[in-house]
Amino acid sequence: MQEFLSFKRDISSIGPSTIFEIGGFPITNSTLFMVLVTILLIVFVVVALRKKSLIPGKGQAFFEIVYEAVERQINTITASSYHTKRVLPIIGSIFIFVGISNYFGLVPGLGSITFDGKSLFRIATSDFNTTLGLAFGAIVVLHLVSIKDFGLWGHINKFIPIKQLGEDMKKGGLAPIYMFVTILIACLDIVGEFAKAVSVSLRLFGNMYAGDVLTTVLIGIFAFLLPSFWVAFGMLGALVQTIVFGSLITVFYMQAAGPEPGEKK
Amino acid sequence: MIEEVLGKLGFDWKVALANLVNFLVIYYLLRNVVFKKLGNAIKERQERIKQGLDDAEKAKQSLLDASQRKEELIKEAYQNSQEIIGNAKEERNKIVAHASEEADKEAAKIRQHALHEADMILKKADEDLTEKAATLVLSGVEKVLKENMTQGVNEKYIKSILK
Repeated sequence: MQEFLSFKRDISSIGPSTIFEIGGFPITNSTLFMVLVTILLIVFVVVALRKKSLIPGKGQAFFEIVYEAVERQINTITASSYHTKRVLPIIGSIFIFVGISNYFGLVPGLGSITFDGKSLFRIATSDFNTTLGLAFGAIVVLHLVSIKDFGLWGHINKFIPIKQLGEDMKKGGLAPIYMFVTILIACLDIVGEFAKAVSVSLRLFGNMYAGDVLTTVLIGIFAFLLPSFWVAFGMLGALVQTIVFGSLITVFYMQAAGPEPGEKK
Repeated sequence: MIEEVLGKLGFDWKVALANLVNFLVIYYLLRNVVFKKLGNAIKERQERIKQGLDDAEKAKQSLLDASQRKEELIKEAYQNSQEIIGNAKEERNKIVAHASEEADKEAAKIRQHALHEADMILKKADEDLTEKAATLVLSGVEKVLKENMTQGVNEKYIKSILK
């Protein structure tokens, strides 16, 4: 009876499984999942937006709802239509990709498709490689934005105020101590930039992976009914994690970006 | 140490790079197809809605203006009609007064003429009557004279007349 009511499944490893390799590059199940998401997204986009019209069809209406929700969320943080418009494509893509990945993880049976004894698809956001890659890529883009807005010299000065330190050194006094502390803080800031990427990626990865593990555990205890509550809760969790990840990247963008053109620096 | 910690989390920079590249494909697709197309479609719709609302507002204002204009026109027309009625009444009174005056003049003239005619008729009748009376007297006298007048009577009459 207990065997019928529960379903034993191995808890997925913390890292992704390599399915095959191309030129030394491992193609993991999370990569395949991303490929699957990309293909489905292309198909959906082509079908939904094939006939773009002023009065939207169902597919276009769905995309417009998502678009406006993402735009509103970003605008809530930036409080500037200029910055929202500027950052919408990249952060909107992150929102949509993370959202789709999180929700796809709730599709029953997707993890049961195996190849050579390994699960063929793994939720991309429950793979640390994906989340860190995304977060790191986003942080790099944000630094490029900062360099574009303030110039390379201005960007470096955001971490170490070199000009100010030079002037202080000329005055003498406690300047060397101030300089030492400033350089120390600058080092911490640089480490902090990496920490930003690691923290947001770990948050998303941890939540999604833990959700996956907990689903497996719950199915192992009682496969019927009980996991459905967790999946329902997972739908909320997937949305919250999407919003948190996207919002944090937006906050980092606002810290990196310069003021609007015409606005005083 | 960092490598060890990341390794325990299943980190492999090649996989991370592959997944990042996959994300860039999704980003490219979303940016060029979804965000650009939808952004334009939504913007166009918003402009159309704004235009529609503006037009509706203008139409509402026009309706209000037209309504006000209508009220003004009705008021003006009423005032004009009152003025026209007043003028017509005045004109009517003038015409009536004039007609009455003319009629009085005509009546006086007719009466004068009638009186004159009556006088003439009376005068003529009088003359005719006198003439007929004279004729009748002469014929009577002539008749009497023919029947009764003798030489002696004739002389007697002539003597009495001459007296």
